[in-house]
Amino acid sequence: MNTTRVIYHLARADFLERVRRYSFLIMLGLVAFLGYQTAVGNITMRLDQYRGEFNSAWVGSMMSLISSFFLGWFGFYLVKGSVARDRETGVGQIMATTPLTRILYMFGKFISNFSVLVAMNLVLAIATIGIQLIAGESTQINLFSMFAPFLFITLPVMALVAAVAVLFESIGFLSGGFGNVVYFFLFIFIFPLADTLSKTNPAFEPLGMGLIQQSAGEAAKATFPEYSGGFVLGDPATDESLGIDFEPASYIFQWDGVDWTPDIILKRFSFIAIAIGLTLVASIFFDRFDPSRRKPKRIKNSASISTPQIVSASQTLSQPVHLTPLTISVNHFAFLRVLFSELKLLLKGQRWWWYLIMLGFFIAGLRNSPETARQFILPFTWLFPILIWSGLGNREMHNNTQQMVFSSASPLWRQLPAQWLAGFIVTILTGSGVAINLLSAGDTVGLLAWFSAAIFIPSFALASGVLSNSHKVFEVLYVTLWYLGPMNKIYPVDYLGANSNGNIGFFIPFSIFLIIIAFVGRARQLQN
Amino acid sequence: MQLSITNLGKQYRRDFWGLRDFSLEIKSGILGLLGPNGAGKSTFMRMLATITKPTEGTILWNRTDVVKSPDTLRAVLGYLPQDFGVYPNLNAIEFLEYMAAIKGLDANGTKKRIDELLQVVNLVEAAKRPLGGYSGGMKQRVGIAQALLNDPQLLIVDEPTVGLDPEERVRFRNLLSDLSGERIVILSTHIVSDVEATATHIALVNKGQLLRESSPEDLLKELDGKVWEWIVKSDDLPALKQKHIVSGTIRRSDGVQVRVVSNDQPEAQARSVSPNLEDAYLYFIGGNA
Repeated sequence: MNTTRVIYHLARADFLERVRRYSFLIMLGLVAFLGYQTAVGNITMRLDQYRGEFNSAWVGSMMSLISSFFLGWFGFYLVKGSVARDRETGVGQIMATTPLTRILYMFGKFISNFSVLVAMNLVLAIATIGIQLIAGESTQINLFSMFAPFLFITLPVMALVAAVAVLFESIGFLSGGFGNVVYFFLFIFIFPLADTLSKTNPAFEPLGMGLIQQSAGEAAKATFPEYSGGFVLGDPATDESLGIDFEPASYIFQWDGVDWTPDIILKRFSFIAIAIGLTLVASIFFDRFDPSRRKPKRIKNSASISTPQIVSASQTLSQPVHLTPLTISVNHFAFLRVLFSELKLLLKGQRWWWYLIMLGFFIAGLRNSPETARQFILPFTWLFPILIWSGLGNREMHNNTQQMVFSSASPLWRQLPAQWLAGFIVTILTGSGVAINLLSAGDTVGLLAWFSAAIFIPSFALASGVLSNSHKVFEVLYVTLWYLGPMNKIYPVDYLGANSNGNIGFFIPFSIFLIIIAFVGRARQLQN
Repeated sequence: MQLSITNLGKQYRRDFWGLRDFSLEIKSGILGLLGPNGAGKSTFMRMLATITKPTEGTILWNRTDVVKSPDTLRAVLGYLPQDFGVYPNLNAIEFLEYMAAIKGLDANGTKKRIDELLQVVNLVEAAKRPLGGYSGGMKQRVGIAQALLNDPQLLIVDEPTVGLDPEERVRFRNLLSDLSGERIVILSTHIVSDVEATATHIALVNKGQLLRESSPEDLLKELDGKVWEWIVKSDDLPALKQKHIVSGTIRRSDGVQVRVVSNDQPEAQARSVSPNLEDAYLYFIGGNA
């Protein structure tokens, strides 16, 4: 078997399949939007109030860091799912019958993931030339200074992301929605690590910020000795926010880029070696589409599941096949039964420990002070059921039951509202400990924020699920919102009112808007 | 009970119609839809099942426009798609209870109906196991059961016997025949013997068009004197296949017994035999009509 040829064709087919998908176009659009935001100055890189002249080195470094950060975070969710697709489509089982080894398959997936991310980076890299020219501070394009950061900083990050996605897909419990949440926290925890490494060994800081900060910082210090070592990526500086005189000469310094020594390059490329190592590890865990190697999670009596009962032909054929005509009528208003069924479907499959943890959250929400309950207990209480909410609106597509469900009576006016209401009930039940606490403490403001969040969460999940036909979009967006709002005290998006009065004036109308969007989306699905 | 389809069409791309100018009057009984892959059978069934909206034409259920008021039909519809999934964490009873609820069935009597259906599809012993562990054939039987939950007046089954073992296929055929009294059953399949055993009417579909619709007897009558059998040498078989529609071959000690569908007697030694549905299918789909 020609190994290179096998990997090439595996990766090529997978790459083509993905770049022809709608989600790739959306992500490409977001990347182009990032480029535009940078070009108009809404996203920038600065060292406290100082920044480098917009020459090739500065713009290239800035764009490569933005790409590392953005695609390092969201790129994972874009590329993850390729093995799952092979599993769902049945292509995987066909592959499993060929001489293809686990290592080759995993490398094919890794290269395909990497290629998709590199394609995104190419868009940003090309946009970099335009950004420098639009800024107009330096018209001389130095291709090496501009693209070296992409090559030495971003590409290794992309390799890591591609490999982590493959690794997560190969490990059963990380391959689904739980893995999506775990990656978010993994990414968040890179920052404390980055901070330490920036000081000790910046080239080993995965996202490359330490390297740029150190090199550009030295240039800044040479021009502005009072520079104290800060580094910001994203938030643009304004004279109001910093309270300084914004004359260019008082904050722009000259920087010609990182001195790319062999030592630095080697350290950066060591991430590619780590990525290859992770892919090898992934191949150990990969089940090669053998269902017997996957744990039958949440399915009881698994040993006897696939064993069909033995019934003799004469016995089965002689059995009467007559069905009693149905005398009960179809009840067009059997909403409660649908609601109960939807609720059962949401909670079915949760293990005992899930209920135990929710009980723990309930007691913690009840027994702590109202402030603690709002600031700490509620955010975690309403993060934990994320995988339950993320099934709203897309469960039919995900399980391929849509043809049966959508051809039943009133799928739009009975099943969809019941699904939302079931999500709402789960939200209320899980957060009820905090609600009782706030009620008994007379914290009306907190209670209102709690209520608006209880409406917002299932509405957001339902709309995301219906529009994207996937659980992934809600999982990514909700965790991001949760991190920014309740955890990082960005008040406009503190939907829980964890550190503020909540933003009920926005979140309640917005929830109604989301419900309407979900209905419109579902109506379109029914009328395709 | 009547289903009237007039000039039905579904356009997928500017230059591609999955179905076009399709008109049919369907009354009680079993209508077998026969046609090659990509003929438009599933498109037709999805439009009848209110899942896909037609680009043109009308579907009337007892004179009510199904496109405008899909819920009128949905209340009395049972549908088994060709490709469907189940919720893996539910067992068969829970799944059927869920489907009964969203079909709008009252709780009273639903349990009895589910029990009966589980017996009919031979899943009583597996009823409490999670569906995630079911084999393909067992899932197919759950699909059949959900389609029958509301005792539908219109039952649409797309490739229902795929994945079923021979015993289960016979059971399902018997069930269809038993059900077909005062209701319309539309059965799409590649397995001609399934249609032969159950259908009261047959519609032949190819390239998005209705080629012919008649009773099996009338269809076979048209083939009287057009099906021939005789024995040829093995070496002559490839040439014969180039020239005629060969609907069957049986290897014998003195050569190969061939069965050919042809308007004229193909060879002097060929003798006319009774046609079957497979012959009719090949004759009409092959464009010899």
